[in-house]
Amino acid sequence: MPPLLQARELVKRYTKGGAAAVSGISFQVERGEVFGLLGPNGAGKTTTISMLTALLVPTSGTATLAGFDVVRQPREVKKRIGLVPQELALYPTLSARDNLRFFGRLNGLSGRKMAEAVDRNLARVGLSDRGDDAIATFSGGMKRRVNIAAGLLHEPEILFLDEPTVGVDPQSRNFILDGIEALSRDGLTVIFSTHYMEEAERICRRIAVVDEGRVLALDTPAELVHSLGDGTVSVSGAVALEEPLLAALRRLPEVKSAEPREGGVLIAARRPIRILPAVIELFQSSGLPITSLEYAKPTLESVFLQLTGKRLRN
Amino acid sequence: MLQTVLAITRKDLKILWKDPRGLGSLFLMPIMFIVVMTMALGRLFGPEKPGVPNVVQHNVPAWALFGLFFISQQIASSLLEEKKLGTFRRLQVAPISRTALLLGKLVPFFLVNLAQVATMFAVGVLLLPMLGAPRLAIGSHPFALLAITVAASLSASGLGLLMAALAKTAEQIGGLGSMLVVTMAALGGVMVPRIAMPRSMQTVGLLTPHAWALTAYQDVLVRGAGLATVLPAIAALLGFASLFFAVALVRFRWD
Repeated sequence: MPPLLQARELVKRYTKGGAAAVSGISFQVERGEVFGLLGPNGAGKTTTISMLTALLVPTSGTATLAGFDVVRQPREVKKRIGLVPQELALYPTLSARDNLRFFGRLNGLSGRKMAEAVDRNLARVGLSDRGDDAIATFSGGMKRRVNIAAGLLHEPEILFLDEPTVGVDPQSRNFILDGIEALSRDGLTVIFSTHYMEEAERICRRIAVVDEGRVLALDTPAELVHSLGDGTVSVSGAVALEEPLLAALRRLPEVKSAEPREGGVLIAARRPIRILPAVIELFQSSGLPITSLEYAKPTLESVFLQLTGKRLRN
Repeated sequence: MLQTVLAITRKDLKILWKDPRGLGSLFLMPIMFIVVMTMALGRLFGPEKPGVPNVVQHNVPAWALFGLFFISQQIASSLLEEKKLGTFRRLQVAPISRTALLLGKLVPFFLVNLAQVATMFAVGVLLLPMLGAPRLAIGSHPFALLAITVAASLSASGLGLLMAALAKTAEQIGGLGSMLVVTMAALGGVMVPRIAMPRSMQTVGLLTPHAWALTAYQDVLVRGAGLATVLPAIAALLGFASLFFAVALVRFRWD
């Protein structure tokens, strides 16, 4: 069976000849998969989602959803997708029920089908008893939940969630993540963008690590983490490292990589604790002072750090 | 298409209904102006002269138009609010056409315009006589009045979309938008009848849809004109509408 969603070399420039917000993103999403776009703010996640949901026309590249081209057949694509945008895209003075009815109508629901869809989705997000209250009276977490219900009303084949847990209390966040897992068990395909790695690790089957408009790595969370060996050692010194020292570090047994960082080096190794003495030895023999030495178990955060030299959250 | 337009219309009327400020500026303000100006300017208009509007025949259509063009700001604010809330993105991700979306954003305000004008004329017919002012006679060509209203409303809608296309913030719509709408009303003879203005000002006034619409209303109310007589004015109003819409659609940002 062909993948449900296929993006090929998507590029988006907002101004002609300007910097690319997305510069050549490709990936496939299988039916029933929860697929994560993990990256910091400004990495191009929202722009990518906008192209895949036929809201933005790519500068180049193509994408198909259920076999329909997002540029040439936007109507067919839109019928099959639900979008939960990053903003709370709801009318504050209207009730939750009125909001859902309105978006349902735009997606072709009416009559009994509509009434059932509204009730089912209010229940899904645990707000059956608050359906007739105005959105303005809801807490941030409750608004987020209605926002998700609005994306699910018309039973899409694929749901795009753009940072659905930003600014949400831990309880609502858990509720939302549990909800996504439940939807996925029911067979819904989900594309989920976030800059919270523990969320991505928890719910995504595969993750694309995105930065500066590119996919830097794409795999299951376990494989991504595994690529770093058993952990990383980061050594900070006062001065920049010279290439001979880096080369010597890379030659140490079981070292997977040694990448220079500002004022230091990040080393990924199979058994990082074991190489510590040798690392210290190398620094000392080069006459370089060590100001700090840090061992980290591999996490998506350290994968991201290793790939980009940046932390996900600053 | 029709279902989409109706859905957005219902939603926007509901939102408008829940916002007393909007209804206040669209209905209460023009009613207040009609009453106060009719009371205040009765002596200035003096005894009735054939073919010349009396105080009621001036104030009712004039302030009805003033209120009608306030809709432009409401349209622009409503569109900007959708963008700010993020609902505009959600509207666009639904399988509906852009035409249906824009029509849906304009039809509710068109309906409000019709209700406004009907209310203002009802004030002239029912309320003003109770306050001692002459009763407004609708005349024998109500369809001509309706046609003028529709054409004026279309140019107000176009102006609203144009404001939405050009404005970047709600403050700009509130500030610059108000200034524009009030200035156009003044030049168009809402506050002071254009016949009381110098010739040059009367000519400048023709650059506003208000002047054409007001003159056309008064042709029907005062001089007994029918649809045929006011067709040129209606054409002028539709010209304003086309110009506003054309520029607005070129400049409008969908993201």
